[in-house]
Amino acid sequence: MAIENAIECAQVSKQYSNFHLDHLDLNVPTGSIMGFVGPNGAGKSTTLRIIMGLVHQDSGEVTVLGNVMPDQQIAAKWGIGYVSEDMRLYPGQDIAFHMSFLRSVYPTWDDTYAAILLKRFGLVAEQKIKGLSHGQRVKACLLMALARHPRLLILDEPTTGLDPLARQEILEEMSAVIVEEDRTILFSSHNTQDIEQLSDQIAFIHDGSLLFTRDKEDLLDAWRRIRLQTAENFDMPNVPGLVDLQRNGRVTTLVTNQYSQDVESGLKHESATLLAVERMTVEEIFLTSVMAKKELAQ
Amino acid sequence: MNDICNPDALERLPPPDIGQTECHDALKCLSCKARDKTGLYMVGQIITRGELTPSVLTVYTVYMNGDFNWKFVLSQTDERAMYQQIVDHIHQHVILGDLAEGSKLPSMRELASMLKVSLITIKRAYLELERAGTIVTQHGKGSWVAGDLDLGRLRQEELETQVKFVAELATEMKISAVELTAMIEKHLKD
Repeated sequence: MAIENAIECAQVSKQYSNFHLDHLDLNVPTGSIMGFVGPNGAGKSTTLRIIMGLVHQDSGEVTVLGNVMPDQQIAAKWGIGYVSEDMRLYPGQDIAFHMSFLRSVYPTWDDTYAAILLKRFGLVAEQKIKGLSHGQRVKACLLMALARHPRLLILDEPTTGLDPLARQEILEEMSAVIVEEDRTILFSSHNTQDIEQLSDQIAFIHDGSLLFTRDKEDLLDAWRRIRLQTAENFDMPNVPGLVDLQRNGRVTTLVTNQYSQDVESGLKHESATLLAVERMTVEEIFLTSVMAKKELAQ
Repeated sequence: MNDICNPDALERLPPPDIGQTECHDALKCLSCKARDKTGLYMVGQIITRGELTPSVLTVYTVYMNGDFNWKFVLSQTDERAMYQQIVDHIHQHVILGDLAEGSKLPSMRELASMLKVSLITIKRAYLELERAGTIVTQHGKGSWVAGDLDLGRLRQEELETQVKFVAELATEMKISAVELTAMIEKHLKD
């Protein structure tokens, strides 16, 4: 039976000496792709490790594929494919060695799919791990996670440090996964373009707390950057969802996260001309949210 | 485009250089792969140098039952939302008759996977097309181009929009009606 959420985190906290994850609530619906965005040190990897049971939370509930973590992590891990930057393969062994090891562990290992992936990724089974480039190593790890058809893929920065073509190959394989309805992907990246392209849901994390989680299309629809030319003494009307306002002489730039046609008509005034209403990228939305939060804190 | 319509002729070419922006080069099938379920092939990819990360403009061609049916050009740098680009493409191809009334569309998951965009983007695109009456979706069964479209009216509307745009441009450039008509007649002859 399908579970509604492949991952459920409720009020999850973790304290380290110089970092703490603060009451994180995160649900990833089964069959969706969630992109996890945040700068280095925001808590992305810590969160993913807690979900994997590699790090234990101090408080809060974590359920993965219906299993309570970390207690039932063995059951959960049959269904998870995990790839992270610090994954270590045996340097002196070749890819074939690792593949046959995984085949012996996982009954769901698919030799045909593994062979297709080897070819698509331009890898050779007899290649020794120590001779692989960074990109090849990431692809080898991803191959090993994908070839056993896990229900849940957790990818920690899968495209970091890769050239555009390798990145595209990896995104391609990720998008092939979603043809099947019961499979879920949670991936983190500081490449917001990848997140924007593939994610159904986007979660923003900063300084150990979740800023928000939203449906990607709703998010992109709600945010606009509006440029106005106004008289010097123009009295700015109340703009719903105002996140940022910069005045530079006669030109005013404002950002709203509650855009609708009404916002535009609300700005219509005899001493103001609308210069542009622009959609924003996920990256711009993230940066503006972080800045706004910082200003609020000051 | 004809030389790339035959899936057997598709082969992998070396990746384009960063900064390459020539469209026609990209159409020489950069990384075409036959997909199992419906036939969609990516025919090219143009990689341009963006400010922070290279942006990728991808050109796709959809083949259904072996015939060339429609072409997608999706760009992350287009000012339209990704779902809107997809809506516009499908709408255009319905109007032009590339997608016949009543013909079945790929499932949302298939199209998302083929175009390498998120499912939610395709869901939104199909929803907008359904609202506009261009397609019909039956939950759990799939989506079809509507069977009762007034194609004549849709074409008329599309043409009106384009003509209106040209007329406005001409007015702004202070080109007379006579000159504009002559220009259109010239193009009709060509």
